Amino acid sequence: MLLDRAQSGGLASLPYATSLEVVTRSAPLPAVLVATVRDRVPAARAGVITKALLGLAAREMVAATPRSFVVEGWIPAAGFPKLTQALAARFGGRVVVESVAREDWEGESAPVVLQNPRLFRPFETITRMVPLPAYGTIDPTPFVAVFFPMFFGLILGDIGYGLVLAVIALWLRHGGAPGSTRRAVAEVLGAGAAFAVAFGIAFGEFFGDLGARWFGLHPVLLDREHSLLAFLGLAIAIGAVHIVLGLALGVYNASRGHPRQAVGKGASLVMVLLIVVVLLAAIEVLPHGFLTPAIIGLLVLFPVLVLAEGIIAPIEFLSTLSNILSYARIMALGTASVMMAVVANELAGSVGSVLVGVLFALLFHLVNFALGIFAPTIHGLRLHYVEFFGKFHSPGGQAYRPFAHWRPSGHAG
Amino acid sequence: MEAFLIPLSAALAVSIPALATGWAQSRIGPAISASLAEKPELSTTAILLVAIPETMAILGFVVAVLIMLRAGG
Repeated sequence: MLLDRAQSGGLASLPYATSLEVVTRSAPLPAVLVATVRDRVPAARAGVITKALLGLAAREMVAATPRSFVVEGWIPAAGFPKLTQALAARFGGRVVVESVAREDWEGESAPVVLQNPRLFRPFETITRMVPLPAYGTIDPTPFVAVFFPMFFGLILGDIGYGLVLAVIALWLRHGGAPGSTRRAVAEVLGAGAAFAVAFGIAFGEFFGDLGARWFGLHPVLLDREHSLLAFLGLAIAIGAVHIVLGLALGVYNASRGHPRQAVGKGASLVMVLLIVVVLLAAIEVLPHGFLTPAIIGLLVLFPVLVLAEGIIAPIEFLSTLSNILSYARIMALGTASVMMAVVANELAGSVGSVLVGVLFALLFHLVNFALGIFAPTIHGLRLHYVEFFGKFHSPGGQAYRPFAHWRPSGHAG
Repeated sequence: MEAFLIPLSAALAVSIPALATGWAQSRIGPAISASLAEKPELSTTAILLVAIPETMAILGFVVAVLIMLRAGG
């Protein structure tokens, strides 16, 4: 009953609306109240009420006298000239727009907007799943847009599965409205499918070894089924690149305001590179002459690291190294994926009846395909959130909510 | 004897960390579910926390592969 009134009559008909109005005039909306409303009503209706409450919170930004008013709010810097022009065109000189420099602003910190080119925009969904980056720090979306589908493709790495996934992604995208989460997910999956096909060509896989059996498909880059060590090396090398990139972004983020941290991150970045050089020299990929200077460099940098980041730094550095090893999962999951496909193909021939064998193989492929979407997504996300973001991401950004989003529905007061 | 010990050690290398992962996740799962009941917005953190111990199982798998490749031929 309470709910029906809340929906039709707006917030004013809620029993505690009177006290609410008094509160919002003087102080920000109490979080307790929002929680109370959420606890009492089912989720679908809670949305309506939360919206109304946000509308009240927006009204807090407005002050009016009989003859004048002041509205205070945030706008993305790029939209500022447009706002000024629109207001000037509509109201002439009667509305004055004044921008307050960030240095002079003493209220809560600026909200954050993620702005990316159209190609990268779907990947903002991935960035938004963790707390937004703080104002003035790096938006990791462009890097996610390159590495996430790449990891996905490396793990799935099969022309056949990739094409099936592309069809599914197209169907998903077709059904989603522009800007919806469904469409963004479809586009992320589509990018993953494209990389899966590309790596499928590189690995010479079409539903496992079916391509090799039917039309003599050959691996261009490496044979995942047999050269496990090469694949492991590739996965860890990609991990090293990704972590070094993360550390570089960390240096950049910390260089504004935290010079000590920046030095520490820089030292661990160079140390990771030097360790790679030492390892490569030890297995004689690089000339042996590199070994001594690299080790001397490590010995020099170690005290720098400890001085910059304290006694805990060596342990953190070890965790950085184990982060790189964590990328071995790309190889583990990739190998599992190709092996399952090969087993499915072998099943088709090993059962007495051809029909039963083929049906069984299809079922096995279906299971492997489902795993092949699920595993790369979960592990790709994990590699980003834990290993990559951990190196530079500084959460704490407030999402930007324009006034337009706060308009309470069906309640004009 | 070796023909028996090498696969056995590979099996141990993957199974013990996998059990450890399972144990760790069995402790993390209930704890994070309890927090989720209070704060639904923690769901991403929940996935991450459950995913962290997986590293052990995966490194165990890598070690097992290395044992089989290097010693098992």
